[in-house]
Amino acid sequence: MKQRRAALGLATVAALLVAWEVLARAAHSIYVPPVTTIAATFAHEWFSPQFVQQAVPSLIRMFCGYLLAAALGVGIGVLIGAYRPLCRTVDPVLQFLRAIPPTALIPVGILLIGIGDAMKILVIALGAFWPILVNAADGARGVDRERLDTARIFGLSPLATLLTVTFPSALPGVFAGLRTGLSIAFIMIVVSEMIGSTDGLGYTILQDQRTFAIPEMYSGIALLALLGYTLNAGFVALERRVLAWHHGQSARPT
Amino acid sequence: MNGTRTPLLDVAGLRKVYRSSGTLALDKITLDVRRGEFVSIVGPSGCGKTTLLKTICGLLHPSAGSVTLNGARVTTPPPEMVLVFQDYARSLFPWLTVAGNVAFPLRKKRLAPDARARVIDDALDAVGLSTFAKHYPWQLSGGMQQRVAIARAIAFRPEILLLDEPFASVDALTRADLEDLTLRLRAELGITMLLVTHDIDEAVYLSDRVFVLSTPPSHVVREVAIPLGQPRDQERTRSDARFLALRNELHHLIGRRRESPAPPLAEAVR
Amino acid sequence: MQRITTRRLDLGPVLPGVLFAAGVTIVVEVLARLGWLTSYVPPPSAVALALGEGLRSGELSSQVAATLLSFAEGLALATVVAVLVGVLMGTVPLVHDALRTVVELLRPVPSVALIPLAILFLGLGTPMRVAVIAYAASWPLLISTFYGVRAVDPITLDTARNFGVSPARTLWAVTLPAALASISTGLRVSASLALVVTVTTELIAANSGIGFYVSQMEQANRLPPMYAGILLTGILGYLINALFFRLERTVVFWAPQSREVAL
Repeated sequence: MKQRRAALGLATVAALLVAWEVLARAAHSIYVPPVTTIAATFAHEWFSPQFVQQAVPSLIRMFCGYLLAAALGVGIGVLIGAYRPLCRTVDPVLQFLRAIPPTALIPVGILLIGIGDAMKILVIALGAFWPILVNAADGARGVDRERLDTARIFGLSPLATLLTVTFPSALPGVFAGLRTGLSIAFIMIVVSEMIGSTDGLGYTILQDQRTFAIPEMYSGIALLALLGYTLNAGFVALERRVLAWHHGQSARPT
Repeated sequence: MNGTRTPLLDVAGLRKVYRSSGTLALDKITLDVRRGEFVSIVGPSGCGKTTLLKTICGLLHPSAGSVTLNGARVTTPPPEMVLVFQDYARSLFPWLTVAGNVAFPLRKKRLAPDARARVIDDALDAVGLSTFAKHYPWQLSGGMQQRVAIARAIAFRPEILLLDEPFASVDALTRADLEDLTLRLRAELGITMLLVTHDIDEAVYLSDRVFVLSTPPSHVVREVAIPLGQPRDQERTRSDARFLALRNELHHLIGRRRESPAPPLAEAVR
Repeated sequence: MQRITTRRLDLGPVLPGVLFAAGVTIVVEVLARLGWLTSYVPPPSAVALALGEGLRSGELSSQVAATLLSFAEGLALATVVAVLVGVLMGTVPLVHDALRTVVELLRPVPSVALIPLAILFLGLGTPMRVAVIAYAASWPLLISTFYGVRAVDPITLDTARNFGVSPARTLWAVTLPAALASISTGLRVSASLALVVTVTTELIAANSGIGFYVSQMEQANRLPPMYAGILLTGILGYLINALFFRLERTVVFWAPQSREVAL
């Protein structure tokens, strides 16, 4: 039964693709190339040096920015969450900064450091930083009192408590933030390459549109979709391993 | 009574005011625990028993009065004392195995790997969980999890173990097992026990002495000696006539509301 | 489901926070006036002034109107489509099975990736923006509508059927009110997202709106107005979030009761 339902889903996708193919061929519009043309262009475009030239730099920039955001966001977030007075002091400023759409800061970045890699990495980091920070702080704040007390009873220093008790306890929250941060980092790299760049996936797709390289544009979008899907799936797999203990614990009725 | 031995733990005139609400939880609590003893504290629910234990342990600061362990004032949790919480699920670490949890207190102590392994093995052996070392706490039943918490506590080699209603969250059969486990630990390892419970039968069964608390602001209503001898047995001891008399006495004491100032202490009944 | 938090951090006594915020602002002001910050970061007072000036003169406020218009249209379109599809997917198993894979495949596609596509078909004006906003904002709403409809107590539905209430009326009078709480949460998330997407689209390719204003100011090197525009997006984002949060609170407040009254 379950297979039948999954099959229906796939069948719908297939049906839509077929309909697209048929209608596109009938309409002969350059704006809507047939699926087969797009697929051929995709193979031609991306299984080629172009991938290394355009897609890989994008991914590298994204990961640099993301890792920077992760390191800072988790570190500062856990600290803020663990020490309530600190949390209260910093909160209004954080809420204000957080409300600004990260994409709006791209022009600022361009002015301050030009349109190079540094700007993109910075802007990606700025965008991904907030959900990571907020969720890490939330996770650190939710540590059970009994666990912290246990650490004190066994004579652990505040630093040791932070590292061996607060941080692991906060991990589920941290990962929730990291996941959101990843999808934001992905969006930010595309946007920053559309606004101020001379290479990269975002730039390529926009340029394809401007030069009316339509099948190339579609294939670029398809690649972005594929990358986004893979990144998300990869992250979920990683999380499942790291947080195996958390999933195991939540599955049990207490 | 053995008046020549100085108490291991001495609580004198302890007062505790909750900072957030300003209510007086504990009002001049005075009690003592001698080395090797098993002492219980009973009282009506809400009488601040957990607050009392946490203050004795050094997790909370008293508003007045003092807690002395081995002659030294307790200001932060001393290494000779470990507190076992009622809610084992929230005090154990789910990201560590059972062995990992038991090893946690050993972090500060620099032990050689085989010495450390031996401590862990001994502790798990003492509570009967040797075969579950590689499991995760949440894979075990409630009673077993509490045993992990106890194993973790004794791995720290404390002189005195504070137990905050440790068996309240398990079923009756498991409870009996755990009660006997604590008696065995006291006998084999010589650890002094201070147990807080609302279960009067449990208090009488386990203890050498019982302190009865009043409703808040709590003070010690009475100290009751339990001369039921060792070793105790779930069936035999609990059907002893003296057992029944003692538990009725305690029932009566707890039911009594605080109408007059606290009576002078060390009034052993019987 | 992952716990993605959007609620505010615990506040407690407000004073330390306010003091810190004021302190930071003053420090930035002083540093900027002393010329210690790069010339690209003007003093906060200049930004505030530019904000006031821009709003008063209409230079900025007209763009605000354009942004809000695109935002509202995009969100409205998203709501209609997402709620409709979500309800259908939640109540008709066939629709759910058929559309499930399509949803799973389309969802991770970032809306920004579709901007060139939208430009191709709709040019550079408001319709292009509305299309992209609607696409992006549909997903949170779709998911929360779906889960909201799914979560309706089967006993309530059985009771309705027992009393001979028609499927259409059951949908309208029972299912929707019960799902309303979940839908309004999704709406709040979608609204915040819609604003961000609006501004982003305006930054990339537009001829009006706050994002357009910001990029214009950046190119003209008029810094205080540029920052004023950015500040304004933050303020707008905060207000919209607060507004929809209020709405959500109100709905959640009466939604469970409406379940009883439904029949």
